[in-house]
Amino acid sequence: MSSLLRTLNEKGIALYRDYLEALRGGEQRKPPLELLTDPWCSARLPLEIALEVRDFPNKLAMGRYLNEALRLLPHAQVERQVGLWSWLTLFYFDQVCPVNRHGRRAPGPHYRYILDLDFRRFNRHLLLGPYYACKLHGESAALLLYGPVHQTNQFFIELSSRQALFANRGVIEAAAILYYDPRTGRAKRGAGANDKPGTLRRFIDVVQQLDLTHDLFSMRGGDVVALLPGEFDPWREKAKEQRSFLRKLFKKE
Amino acid sequence: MIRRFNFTGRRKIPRSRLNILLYAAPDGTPAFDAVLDLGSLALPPDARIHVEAYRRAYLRRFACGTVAQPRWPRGQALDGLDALSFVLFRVKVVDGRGRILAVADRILPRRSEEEEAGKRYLLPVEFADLGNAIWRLDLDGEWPSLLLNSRIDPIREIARADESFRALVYPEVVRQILHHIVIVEDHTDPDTDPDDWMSLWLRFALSLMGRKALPPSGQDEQVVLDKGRWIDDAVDAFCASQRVVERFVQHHQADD
Repeated sequence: MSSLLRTLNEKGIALYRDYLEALRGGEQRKPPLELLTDPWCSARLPLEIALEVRDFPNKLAMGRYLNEALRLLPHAQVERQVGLWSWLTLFYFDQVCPVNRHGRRAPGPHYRYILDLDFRRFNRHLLLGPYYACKLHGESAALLLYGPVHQTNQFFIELSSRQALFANRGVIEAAAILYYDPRTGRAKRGAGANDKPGTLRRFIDVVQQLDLTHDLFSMRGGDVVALLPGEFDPWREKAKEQRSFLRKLFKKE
Repeated sequence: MIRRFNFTGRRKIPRSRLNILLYAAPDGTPAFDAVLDLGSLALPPDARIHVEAYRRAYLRRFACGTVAQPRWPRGQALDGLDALSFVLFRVKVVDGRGRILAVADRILPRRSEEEEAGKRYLLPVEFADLGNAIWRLDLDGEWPSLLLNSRIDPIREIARADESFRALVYPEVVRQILHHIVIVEDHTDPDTDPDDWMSLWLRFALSLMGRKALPPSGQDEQVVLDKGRWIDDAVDAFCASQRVVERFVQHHQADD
């Protein structure tokens, strides 16, 4: 099934918000999908953009798809459109708020569905976040976007809440080199552990220090990794092993 | 006193050498011109210059050539930014290995509007969905800002002209900001970095009070009490300068 992308107006957003609140209050109603096409609650866009209902295995796939679908809309015009992103989460409601094993939908905070322009919650929107991460980082966003669409992983939360790091290609690529395991499609074991040398929190602390002395924006991920101190050696070693494993694998194929 | 280390010997570009002008382009998009005088900083001619415009989730970066052959932005659009948005700038001069040789950060651009604009941007106002709250002071970003609830339709007008709002909210805003600066951050010297927002606010408070006495420094119980009194005096001076009580009373008498 495909539909033309629209944008919820204020009334549509208010009704969608009411629905989320009702779910949170324990009511189990069907998603108000009629808002998507109701001319009193939503409006057409100047461009006709067709979207398909499909299952996305993870947020990276969703982010890729949205970047492809929205490619004709200038990013600057898209990124702050509360109505458009709210329409999108309602359209993909089964993905962003699936029925759980108890047969209920349990929505998280509003900002995951209705775009909140407050910078602390902006990137936490369940569809804008993956879209934006993919736009900025392409395949290097894999570390930020592993896991199902309705869940936000720790790497995304920690890195996207620091805009100077989140917007920096070299830094995100470096994090992916160190902590992403392409064999499992997830973060390496222990990479998110608290207060251990060389793990994510330390990476953030050290990179924020390096940001004062180096223009990390002009560096590639490998250059950033090379700047990191000795405590990151075990992760550097794992990354090296991984690269040689992948090289061998591709040679065989 | 705040101690700062500078192991790599990067230089600070004096703000007097920077001239960044922000204005609205004919289509309403914010745009800027930048000219920097790097002449006497003795930087390598092949070092690259980058100008960054930023504010919270917003960041745009512009390559501006090299020290020997700069290409200063003129009419550079800041796409994705609202016309009235608050934005700061950062300038970096970088060597071939990515090391920062010279930097200037948290630069407030000049505005093409009247000189009053400089005063207004001591406290930028932003609009966000604050749920059931009317306003909130945000001290987490690079610059403090007053958040107003975008769910309230005429909030912009209320904040600008409603005497009750002005009388009840702004003195509390001043109090919270000074509390953060003087007590939480123990920043009591307005000359530490003259262009830093905390220094600007301290100077603003001192100018209101019409005296030179800085708040005491330290975290001892007595010192914190003295700081609290200094903040009370500053808020009182702010209220006096704005004739808060008089205007509030007049407004309510007019209502009766």
